[in-house]
Amino acid sequence: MLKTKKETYMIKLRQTLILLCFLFYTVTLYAQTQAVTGTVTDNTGAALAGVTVGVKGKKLVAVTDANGRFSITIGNVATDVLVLSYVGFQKREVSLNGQNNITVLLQPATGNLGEVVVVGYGTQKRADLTGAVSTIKADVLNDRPITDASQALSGTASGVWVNQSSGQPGSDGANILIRGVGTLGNSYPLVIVDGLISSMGSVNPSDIASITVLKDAASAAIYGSRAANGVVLIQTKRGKKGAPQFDFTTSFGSQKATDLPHQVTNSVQYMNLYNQALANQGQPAFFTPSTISKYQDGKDPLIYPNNDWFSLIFGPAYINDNNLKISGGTDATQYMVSLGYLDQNGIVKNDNSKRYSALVNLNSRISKAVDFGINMNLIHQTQNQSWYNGSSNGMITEVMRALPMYGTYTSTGQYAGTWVNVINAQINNPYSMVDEGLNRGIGNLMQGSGFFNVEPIKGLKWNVTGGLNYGDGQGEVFDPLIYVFNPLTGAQQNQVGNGPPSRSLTDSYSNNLRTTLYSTLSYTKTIATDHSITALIGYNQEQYSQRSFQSYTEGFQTNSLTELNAGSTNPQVAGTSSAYAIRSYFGRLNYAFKDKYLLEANLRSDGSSRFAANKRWGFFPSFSAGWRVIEESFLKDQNIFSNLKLRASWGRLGNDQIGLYGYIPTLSLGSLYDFNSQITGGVAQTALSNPNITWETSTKKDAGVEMGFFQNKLSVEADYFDEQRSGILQTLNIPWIIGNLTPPTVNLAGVNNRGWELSTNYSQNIGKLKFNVGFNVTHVRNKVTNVLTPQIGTNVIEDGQPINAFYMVKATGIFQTQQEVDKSAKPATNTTAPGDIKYQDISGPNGKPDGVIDDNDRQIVGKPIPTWTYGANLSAAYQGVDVSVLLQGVADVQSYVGGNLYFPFFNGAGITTNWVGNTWTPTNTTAALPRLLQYNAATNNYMTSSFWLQNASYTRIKNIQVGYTIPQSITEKIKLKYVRIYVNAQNPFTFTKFQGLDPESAVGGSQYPNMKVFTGGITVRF
Amino acid sequence: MKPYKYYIVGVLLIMMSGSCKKDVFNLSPTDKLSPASFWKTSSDASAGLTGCYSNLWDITEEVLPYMDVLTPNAYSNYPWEGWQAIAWGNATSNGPGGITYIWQGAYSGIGRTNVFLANIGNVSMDATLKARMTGEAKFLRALYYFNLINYYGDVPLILTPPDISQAKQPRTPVAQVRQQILKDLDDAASVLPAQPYTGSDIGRATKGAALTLKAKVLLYNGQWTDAAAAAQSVMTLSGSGYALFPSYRGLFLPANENNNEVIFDVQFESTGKYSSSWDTYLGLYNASYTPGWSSIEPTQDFVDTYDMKDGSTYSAANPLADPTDKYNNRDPRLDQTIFRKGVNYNGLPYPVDSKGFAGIYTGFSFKKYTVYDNAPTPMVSYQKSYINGILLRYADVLLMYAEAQNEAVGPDASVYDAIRQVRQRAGINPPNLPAGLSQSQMRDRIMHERRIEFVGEGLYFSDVRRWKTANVELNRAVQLNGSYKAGVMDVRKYDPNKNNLFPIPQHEIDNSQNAIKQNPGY
Repeated sequence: MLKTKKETYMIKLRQTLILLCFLFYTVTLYAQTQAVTGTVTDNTGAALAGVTVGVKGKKLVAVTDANGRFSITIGNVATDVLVLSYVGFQKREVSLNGQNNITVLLQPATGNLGEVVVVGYGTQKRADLTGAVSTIKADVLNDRPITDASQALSGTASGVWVNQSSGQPGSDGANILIRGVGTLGNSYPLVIVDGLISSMGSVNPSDIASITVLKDAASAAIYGSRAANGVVLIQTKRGKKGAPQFDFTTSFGSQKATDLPHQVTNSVQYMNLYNQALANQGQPAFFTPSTISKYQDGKDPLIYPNNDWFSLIFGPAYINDNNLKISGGTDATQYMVSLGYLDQNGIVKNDNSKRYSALVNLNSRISKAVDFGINMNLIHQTQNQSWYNGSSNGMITEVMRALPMYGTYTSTGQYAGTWVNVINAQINNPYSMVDEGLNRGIGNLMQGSGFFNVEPIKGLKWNVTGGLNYGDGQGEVFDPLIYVFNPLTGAQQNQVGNGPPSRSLTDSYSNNLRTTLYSTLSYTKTIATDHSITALIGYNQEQYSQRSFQSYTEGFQTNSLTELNAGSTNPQVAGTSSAYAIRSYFGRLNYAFKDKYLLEANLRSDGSSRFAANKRWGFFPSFSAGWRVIEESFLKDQNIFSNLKLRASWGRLGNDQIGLYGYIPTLSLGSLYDFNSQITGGVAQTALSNPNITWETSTKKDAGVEMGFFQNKLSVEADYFDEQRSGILQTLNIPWIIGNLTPPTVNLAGVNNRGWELSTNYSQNIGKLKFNVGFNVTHVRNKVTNVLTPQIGTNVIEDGQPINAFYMVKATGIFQTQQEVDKSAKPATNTTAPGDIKYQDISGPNGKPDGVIDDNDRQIVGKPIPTWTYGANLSAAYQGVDVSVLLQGVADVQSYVGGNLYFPFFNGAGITTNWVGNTWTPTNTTAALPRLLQYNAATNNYMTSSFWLQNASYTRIKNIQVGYTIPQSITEKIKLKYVRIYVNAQNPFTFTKFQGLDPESAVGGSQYPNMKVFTGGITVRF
Repeated sequence: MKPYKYYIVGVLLIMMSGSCKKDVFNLSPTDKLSPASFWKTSSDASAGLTGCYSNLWDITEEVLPYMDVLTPNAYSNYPWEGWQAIAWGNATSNGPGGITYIWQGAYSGIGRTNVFLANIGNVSMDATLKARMTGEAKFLRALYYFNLINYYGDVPLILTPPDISQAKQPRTPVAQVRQQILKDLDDAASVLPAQPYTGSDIGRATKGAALTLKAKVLLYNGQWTDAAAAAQSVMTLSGSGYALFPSYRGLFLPANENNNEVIFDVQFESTGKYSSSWDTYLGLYNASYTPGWSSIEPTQDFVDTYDMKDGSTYSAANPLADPTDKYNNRDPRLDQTIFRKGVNYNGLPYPVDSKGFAGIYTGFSFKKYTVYDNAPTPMVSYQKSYINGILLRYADVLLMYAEAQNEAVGPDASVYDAIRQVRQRAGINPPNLPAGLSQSQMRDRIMHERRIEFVGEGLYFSDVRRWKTANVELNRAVQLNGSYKAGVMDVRKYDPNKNNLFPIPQHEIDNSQNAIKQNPGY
């Protein structure tokens, strides 16, 4: 007797692997009769287990066993046609023509129709999806020097923009935005790892099996209240049946900054430029001719240095990543153990991060109707960085402030200052910022979960999943006491840093715990052969709490004892805790008619502790439909389309990402005063609460088409989307006259965010050459609507304008003549002269141009969120050699840059080389930059204006990898199954007009440069 | 195994998750109080009042010693500290930072006093203490508003607890705000004690503080008769014990805090919780001397104006003038206020470079309001300065009286006597001003006396504006003579039609939807 099913693949089991083991089980139990037998293999000849073998037009189904073998009783060996289907492979029909023992070869699916996609609380076959979903498989990540899982998505999926703003080891997570920015506050997606709410940083990239991005309402609505920004689902790798398999991969490499500021490093040139700026300001020279000539004549490099501080503090950094996985199992039970060790130095001297990770999971089927699994993921990460200003992130700024005349060390080995009169009272030696003190962070993350599934009657499944995410963090910052010494006289100059003046130590500790429990009940049924129904209902509860503690003390005797017990004075403590909870009910209904017409509905209701009782519950529905046109008879007899599907969705989602207690009025403690030197605790209202805040809601529409051509060699997927947010949760800007209180969070505004995305993929095998080309592009524009009160600043939130549009006076050029200055509008303060920036006069106090440049002339001049994001990938393999290239870019985006890097002598700092010879002078009137003036001069050139706004578009070769797989004939001799060696270059080339540092960082606003990483490594399986 | 066991396990798990509990959402801040349960007891009232005092830091720490750099008395080299651009006439509605310190701090204090005054009525506590606390809050509200009208002119007058509806409140005419200030001060004076506080109440507002502030408000508004009367009411306030502290230098040393000259001050302490950084700002930038920054330095322009020790005006021909050092034999306050070439700084000779230029930027450093002296002195760290910032003191009462009385009546004996007291304490001998000065001559003498006596206390910027001498005083170049800035002319600009008031911070104009209008000229 055979177990028969018409449409096995309509069964939506929770995980691919469970599907597999379940099917093995049925085969071993029931396969008794044979009429036709056969073996199914892949194109390498390896047996395929779990392949569904059906008979066309009949309800007969068999499944291949672990050796790829199947047997099936059929009616007519001469005329019946077998239909073989398997996840990830092309469906194949085989006419038996009288044979009763056949071997069938299945080709891997070049498209991804058979792929099982992880969706909210379950899986679906890609063909059956009615929502907009992107998936990224592990092979996109393999062997790339990805140090944080968030980096993996860069350039790989349409609608997903990944911006890595910092390359600091241990702090190099990238920001992920799905379909641009639809809100004003937190716009990052919900991240779910193995079913639990988590973060991208909580998983070793090497352990990721797949990443699914839920982009529209249909796919994300099952996550309701937190899904408005999209959802990223990460599934970690799990064991497969078989003898223990060992996978080991290791890579070594070197990293360097994508770019560093190019600073004037010749001391005499610096002094002359400084004096020139003063001369342009009508001021006497600061560096006297005698100082300059003494410097010119000086020989001792310790006393007369020309230090290039960037090359002294920033340098190539080592990276080493190792991963070992052991997996295997029996029919009933499979396991995986994965261990990882990442050791990464930073490009700032002495920066380092180490990550140790361990992933353990187990699946077991304990009876016909019951299976369970557990999952443990542990990460321990350490980070060392500069104590100065609390992190290494600002080292670019600090090094810009170190002038070429600043010495390294004195002849006696002490930290040097300089004998030259300098502009800043504070001379800081950058070496002391990276070589002294202590700034150590330790983070531990643990995710543990378990689930079990019970199937009491066929088609009805009950799942219970519970888990916890625990994290803790420890920080230690020791501020040392360091003096710099005059390299000429040896006299003590000043203390490094502004203080605190004596040594101090801050120890901090925090932990957080999130417990999640959800349960789902699903039922799948096919009625009258043509109607497939799957229904799911569920309950979810989540509680989160965190505690933090911080202690501080001073009075250390030396720079080397850095424990709290070694301090003696002014101990201080602080600490607090917070919590939130969410409870949810949800349901989903799928209906398919003849596998052609697909309908899906989702509902979720969430209650959140962030809102008052009467505003607490939100209700989030979605509806979607799909039409698999390819299944229609009119497309049967053509060989152009191999897939054609139309789909559309509508839904409502929520966003609750605000502070925890915004609706509760509070009084703060700590507004103290000291009466007669006795500190007295005070209580004060410091914030305005808003009892009426409630969910931010997002209404999303999506229409998409999926096409496959030429046996899916070419696939095209395009979507149009339109999102309208309303009641966006945002802090309201209020004047300080309201008690100078922290403003309340309100449901402030709306945003419309719409665009389209397109992804194509083409793959072909030409002889032994296999290649694949993919391209994706997203065009998205957002517009603020219904804002309660416009939020005015350098970035504005105003009706009809892009989010955070740049709002400033517009520069129209550089004044060439005094006559031009005289007849033009200019700011009322400071003198404007030829060589200064010319601004556009658009208004005045009375709404008309008034000849004065001031705040009335501010206008929208740009936007910080790109309109275009795109990515492309190319991969090719020929015999054992494989090459892959990944490209990523953004366009139509601006970045406002200022500060040390862009303004000369900013608060006494250095000057970048682009100012040299490139400034306006009466004889260099076509110069790009205005006349050379100090940032602190009485000038209007450095007022916030579009002159300093830059085009931050860029195209970046994100990754190039070349690998060679050693032929099996050789590896078998050394008892290895698989050996691949590779070299990899990350961020090797960037194409941009952006002046200054990395354009990707500029968009994100950080100052720690991104890195170019060159690695080589080996992967071994045995 | 039978599946039913798993049903039981599953149900148990779900029950364990607390799904039946209704209070899962019942979460509130664990380190903050709920207003609903506050304002019940006298300790609540006391803590709420302390919160009102707390904002004194905001309007003092980064402000008081810096105000003189807006005048020729002093110089600040660092634009990022938020004051230089004001002196240069370059301040805009976007800054520098110094402009917003007072605005934000004062409105924070006003919000808190308004909350206190709205709730104190419901607290069950001793009636006398309740009345005193109400008086303290009213004094503080008056002080905060006085700071606002003094620097910004018309300001929104808000007397109710903070509420979002205040966002579009326009500016109230200064006269109306002043009327409220005087009312608050009268209310406060009627309930506050005249006697000095003791123990941990030292530092609270007294009746004398309310009356002194009243005198100042009236004086700044040219209400001479009323101002003289208010000042006199302080001079005759029985039980107050007000007197000039015998040592001018000692008045500004931590050891002598809360002496009987101090009428109201901002109480700093040394742990960093409620401290200042004045020793750092004022301290000489030279590691061998202090961890200071030379952020605020007195100018030669100012130092030159000290009289001689006998009260005569300096000139090279003056018999007391020392041809080797023109700063010798001056008003003793000079060396109690200033470090100069030729004296020791913390036990070391005041630094002079090879070309003979002293110090850093101006050639002088402040001694007043630092712990540093000619003898070696232990250094004080950043954010660890704790000398109280004096807002109202008895010498000011005397000179306010003298000025108001001279304007209202003329230079009568009481005017002479008030000034004599101040000069006598300073050590000028003889302390008397020459007899027979005209009203106008006396006015000049009082102006001069105020400049010398209160330098570094932030009063001169307000004095020159109300005297209408700002157009001259704040509108000229000041020579810098320090080794880093030898010979540089620091050009100050002042437009009486504009710079008499600070610009309203742009933040307020933008976020009130233009309900708050800008001051003229900005």
